[in-house]
Amino acid sequence: MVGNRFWIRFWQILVNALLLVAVLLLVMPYLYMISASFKEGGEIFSIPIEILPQGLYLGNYEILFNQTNFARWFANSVFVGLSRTALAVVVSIMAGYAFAKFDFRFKNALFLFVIATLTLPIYILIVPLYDMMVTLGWTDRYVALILPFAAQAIGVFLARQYLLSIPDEILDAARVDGATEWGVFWRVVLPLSTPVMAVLGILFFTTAWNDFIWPLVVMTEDNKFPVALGLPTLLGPYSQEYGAVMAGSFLSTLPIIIVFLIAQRRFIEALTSGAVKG
Amino acid sequence: MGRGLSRRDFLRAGGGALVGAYALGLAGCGGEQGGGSGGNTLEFWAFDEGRANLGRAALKTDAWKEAHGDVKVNFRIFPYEQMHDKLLTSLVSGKGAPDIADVEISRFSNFIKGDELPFLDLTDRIGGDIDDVYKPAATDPWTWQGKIYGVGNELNTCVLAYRKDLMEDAGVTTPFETWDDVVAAGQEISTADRKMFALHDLAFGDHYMLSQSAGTAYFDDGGNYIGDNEQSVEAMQYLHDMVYELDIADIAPVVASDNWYPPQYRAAFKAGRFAALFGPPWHLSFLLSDVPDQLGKWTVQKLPSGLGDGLPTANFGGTGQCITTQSENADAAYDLVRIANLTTEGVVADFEARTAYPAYKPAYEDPALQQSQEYFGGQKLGQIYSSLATGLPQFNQSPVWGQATEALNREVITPVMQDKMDAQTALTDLRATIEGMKQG
Amino acid sequence: MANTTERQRRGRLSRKLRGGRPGGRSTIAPYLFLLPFFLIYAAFLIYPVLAALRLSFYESSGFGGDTFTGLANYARLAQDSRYLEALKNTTLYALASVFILSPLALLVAVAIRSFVVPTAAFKSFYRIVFFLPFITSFVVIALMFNLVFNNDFGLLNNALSALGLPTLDWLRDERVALLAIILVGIWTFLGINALYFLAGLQNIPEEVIEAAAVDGANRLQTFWRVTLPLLRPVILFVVVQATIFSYQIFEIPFLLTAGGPSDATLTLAIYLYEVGFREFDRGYASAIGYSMAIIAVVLAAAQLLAARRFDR
Repeated sequence: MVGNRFWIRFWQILVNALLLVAVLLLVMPYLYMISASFKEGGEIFSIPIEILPQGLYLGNYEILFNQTNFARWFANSVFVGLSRTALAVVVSIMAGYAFAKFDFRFKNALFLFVIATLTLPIYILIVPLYDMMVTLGWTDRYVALILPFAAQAIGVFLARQYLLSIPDEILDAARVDGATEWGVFWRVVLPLSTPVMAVLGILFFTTAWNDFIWPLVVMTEDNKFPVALGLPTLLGPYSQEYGAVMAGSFLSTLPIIIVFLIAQRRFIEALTSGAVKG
Repeated sequence: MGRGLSRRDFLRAGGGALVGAYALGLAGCGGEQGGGSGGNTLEFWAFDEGRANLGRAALKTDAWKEAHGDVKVNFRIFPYEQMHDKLLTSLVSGKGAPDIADVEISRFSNFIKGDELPFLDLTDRIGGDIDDVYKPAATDPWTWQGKIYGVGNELNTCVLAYRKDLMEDAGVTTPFETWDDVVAAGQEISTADRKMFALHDLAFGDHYMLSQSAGTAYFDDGGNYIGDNEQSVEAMQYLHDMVYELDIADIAPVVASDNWYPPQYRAAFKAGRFAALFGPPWHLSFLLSDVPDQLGKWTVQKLPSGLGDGLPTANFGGTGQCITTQSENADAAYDLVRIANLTTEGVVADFEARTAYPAYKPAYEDPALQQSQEYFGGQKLGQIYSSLATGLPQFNQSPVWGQATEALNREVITPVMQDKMDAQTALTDLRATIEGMKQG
Repeated sequence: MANTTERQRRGRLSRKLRGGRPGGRSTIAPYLFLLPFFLIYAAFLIYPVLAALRLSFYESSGFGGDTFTGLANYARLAQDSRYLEALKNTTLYALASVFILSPLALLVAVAIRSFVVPTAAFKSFYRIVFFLPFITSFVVIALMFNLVFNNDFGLLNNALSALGLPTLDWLRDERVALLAIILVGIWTFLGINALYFLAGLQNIPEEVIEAAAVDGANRLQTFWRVTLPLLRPVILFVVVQATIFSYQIFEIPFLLTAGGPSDATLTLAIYLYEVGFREFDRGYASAIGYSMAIIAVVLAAAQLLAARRFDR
């Protein structure tokens, strides 16, 4: 038994050490970005490189909030991100449930079709999709950023894979108890899907937040830009505000982290409250 | 019922957001739809705040106010790379394009592919003003098959600039007459940490300038590739040799996504790693903004002779304003362009805002352009540039300019400047690639 | 044991009622659940997908008209040396995603979840940190890694020389540039893939693991014989989406090396962008796009079929 405890400790130290090295590698660029946001102008790219800023220079943040539309861009991203995510998660879980727990005609063909469309690169879809937006009169409107991307094939795929592992007996038990199909979904499947809802929520929100090419094509008014589109406008060939871009990039990771933390916490709660085991 | 709450909360929030989205979308929060805009608004797309200000300054002039005081102009700034993509998308789909767009010289070629060009022919509107500009900088890059589609305001006469203080300390005589003189000086002042030039291996600008100075171009006036002639090869080989044989240059510290003068390049100059450069006025401006402590130590002069025909200057870069065919108020649009680019008032305003030397000749009589530049030891750059401007070689556009120069980067500049291929082979092989490109 | 019998009885009963198939009674239900997704999908994706497909059969470049050319664009792919170079580079990147990134992500997920990481706080910390790369904008990633890979004062070369190893010209040397891109890809996507595995791992009930331990299996055997098989759906998901998205990799090589030097890191997506927006040859670009889709679909289908055969 002594040997066992030793091995446990050994593995704990080794693996944690490796993980910490990995953590350092993963976090370094992020930390550098934060540090750069407090540096002034040429300091960011000085030779030799300095990791920490000379002083806490707030000028970049000042430029960001006073001279650019950052606050507005941020609000746009939050609004579009949340709307698109909420819609997409609900839609994905429903579709994933259908594929996972039902047999119906064309099921396999439809599923393969859904996956197949994932494989198309967006650049060939942009011009026709833009044409559609123009016809609908949706250019420069938030709905153009939200609705077309509320159906995410990756969400259906992930939801299906996850829901496959819900035991059929539980569903049948509910049906025998007299629940309608919607009732089964609402009262049995959804509570059990909290982990995958969390993952989808994080995934969709991040994708929506970082989306660049579509807002570029479809939005014209600066007031409607999301952050991902607004920040690069500060890096032109004639004038480059790297400091402000760093500051903006740092601030814009915060909502995603918040969404991440919330989603994480919720699904851990759900699991530990005995939902799965009960 | 912890989980029940979370699920309901989530769905409620989602539902709320959805309703909100719809409400906003339907409430018509959108801007104008359709190409250009109605008669009283102009849409102006740019990728640089400074250039947008050029337009804004024009709006403040009396000339504009009298003629179009009721017209509102919306300036939209998009990221540089992608602004042209967005412009292309809207022009191809036939809707949503602006009235005026800033089109950079290297991306203009896309828009002249095919029969129905999306920009208005401005030749007649410009009319007699054409004699008042330095054409290679102002209109050549936006000219195709004899018609002018855009007007630029940046005089891009290339010059040689160098650290006069270092030359004096080393006992070198300046100004430099020939490239041999430059090389000799370079070998005097070059050390392990310092070289004369930072030459690019990821961008074609250096060769572009030197080959023009040598007397040639990439395309002739019929749009045919001529870049593998003797002068062009000589220029390319010379660039290579400056790094690998003559030891007076290093590869410029640039990155692929920002391959001309990124912050790292500027930092290198600030740290004194390079003592000279050749380029247009817009390039030199980085010295003033990013290397202020070398004030008074730099000097400019015409390009040295000794390479090919030895012309004293070359073109490089530029952005022009074009008017799209979707514009519904071409008259007002052109007036904006004219006031901004073809009047002394307009171009001097731009000069004062961002030190952009104009391509409009009469402007050089304005006192603003006759001042001495402290940074360059008191030299009057306005005079130098305008006197060189008459010697600018003609610029010939081509519908494959963009792709051809990218192929040039890939197949010539990078291999040659990384010492993997010789200039003659690379430039000759390039011909096959370019001739395979579609003209539209 | 009473509960199990009860559940078994219910199961048998309902199976009789259902005639042996899940959801057998209601045949409209699945379609109703699918409706929202397919409505949106059909409305906003079908038209662009078909328009792009149509365009791929046409000669459509510049501002002139379109001419029908049948399969000419597709035939051109086989002769196009830049396309083939892009195909090679992208496939190498995809292979790295499947055979290096995915197992690494699984390992990280297992490590985080296991006893080796002591407290929940630690686990949370690791999860957040591993997630950070995924949420950093590509502009920042490109800036960062330009510095990391810098020849003279980059982190990587400094570390290498500190260890006595030779330094490499990561972003400029065509022999290693692709490797640099792969490293950045791993850095960026390790976290989100680990997250997928974590979600899957969290779904495996504790009893199953405990039962295996009771039966005498050690940790390795438990992992291999119990956990992995139960993770199959998630593994399949991770591998398939890694393949599909690897074939579309764009921003990282575009921003770091612009597809260079000399096409060493040219990926299919970058080539497509160049053809569509720089060369302005939309018909050919559509053909490239569809060829990418076909390749990815074939690979994904192969993986799904292999998985199904494996399950049986």
